[in-house]
Amino acid sequence: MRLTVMICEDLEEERMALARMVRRVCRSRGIDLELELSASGEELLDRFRTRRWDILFLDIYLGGISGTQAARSIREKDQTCALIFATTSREHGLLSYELRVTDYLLKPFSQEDVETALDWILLEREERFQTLTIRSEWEEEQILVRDILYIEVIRHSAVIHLTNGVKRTRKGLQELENEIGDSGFLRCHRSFLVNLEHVAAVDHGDFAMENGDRVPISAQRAAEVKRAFFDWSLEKTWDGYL
Amino acid sequence: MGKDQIDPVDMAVVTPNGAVAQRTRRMLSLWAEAQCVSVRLLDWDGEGPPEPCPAVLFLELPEEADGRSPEPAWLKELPSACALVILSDDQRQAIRAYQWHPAARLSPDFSYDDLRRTMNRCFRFWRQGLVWLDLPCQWDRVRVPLSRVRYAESMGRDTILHCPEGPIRVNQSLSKLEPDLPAPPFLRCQKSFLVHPDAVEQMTGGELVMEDRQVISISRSRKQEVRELLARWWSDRGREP
Repeated sequence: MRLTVMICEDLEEERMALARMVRRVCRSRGIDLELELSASGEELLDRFRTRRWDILFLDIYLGGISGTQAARSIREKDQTCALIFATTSREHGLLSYELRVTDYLLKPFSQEDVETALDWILLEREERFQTLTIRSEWEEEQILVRDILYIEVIRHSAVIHLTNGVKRTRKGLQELENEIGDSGFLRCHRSFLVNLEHVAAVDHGDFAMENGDRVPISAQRAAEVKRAFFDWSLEKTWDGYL
Repeated sequence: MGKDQIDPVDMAVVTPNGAVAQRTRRMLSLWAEAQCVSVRLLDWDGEGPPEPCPAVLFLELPEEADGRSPEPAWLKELPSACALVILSDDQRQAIRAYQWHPAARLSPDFSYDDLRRTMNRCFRFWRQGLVWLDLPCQWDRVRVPLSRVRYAESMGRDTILHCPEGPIRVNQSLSKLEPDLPAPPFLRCQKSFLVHPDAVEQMTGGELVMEDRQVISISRSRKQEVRELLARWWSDRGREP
């Protein structure tokens, strides 16, 4: 499992203390952690232009741009990041729900509080952090399942098309499908497994992918596949609609 | 077969305030009617663990004299399949509620639109209660949640279902389809149209202006009835006519 975490806290001592707590939790859970730190709301938003994180710990009183202002700006562009307020403020409880905050840690908080908050996120969003181990001819590596666009079988190899490249493995498609075990993946063809998250549209019996590739839908399974895709996209689009 | 048979989804309201309980239950019924969701409101007062566990639980904790509210023992054991909606306007309670991983918060004095937005956020918890249409469409079949149909237009032996994603032409006449588009929420404004009141932007004279700017005329014989139905629909949901 791989996790990207950002801590935005203006007080260095508290920033470092929280970073230690997060590292300790991830180490004990065997999580591959990528941790970034930021000392102000301005710095956070500046980095947010090019970066995204799975989890963001955010202080509210930050000097310049406040934590709630920063959270609002981030929420406008990123609905998936798990926000955790880590603050002395007892005045932002109601607002936190509007900003879709996942947890609210009141200072001083303990290692156990951080563990509880992270464990809940890991449990709730397990699929988001899931990795897949693949062995190519020379090496073994972990890839994030959410980065997979689709997998196709060519001869006896599975070709994994990712958002940032292509990997090959000798694993079979059925084995990969079982390992992924994610409802967001669909076996749309004997030789193809597609990540619905990266489908742009259904077009002339194919899935048109975000990157312009086309993934065929088996004629025999067309009705079933389209129904599954519709059901899946319904859940994705329901919020904010009607 | 036009409409799928589904099991109702359980919801519960637990609050020490009788008026809030009554209002929340009424608002939920109005929401379920508009969204075409089959809902069963449980008669459970919060004493002892919920059985069955509701898909959505609206909870207002009682305040104690020292400002703290006693929490029911079952709250910590609430399964993750239950969406907890905290009814509170209190900053402290709102923060404290995070330990139970609430899906949302509502003011006890919420409006219909607040409830609608909150329920949208909890969609995955109640989606099993959605009523669906399953209809023939060219050589295939199409399955659409009933509430997604904003209005239905007769087209000879076919009907066009106008949905937010675009129109769907189904191979069934409007008269055959009508029993599957129940009133309420759907209302017939003329021979060729059945409309969902939420999709009506306004009623001007003898016409309905829909949210997609389509204008539908109302037959003279139905004008009074449509006006009254819409007025009641909007007034129940706190919307200006």
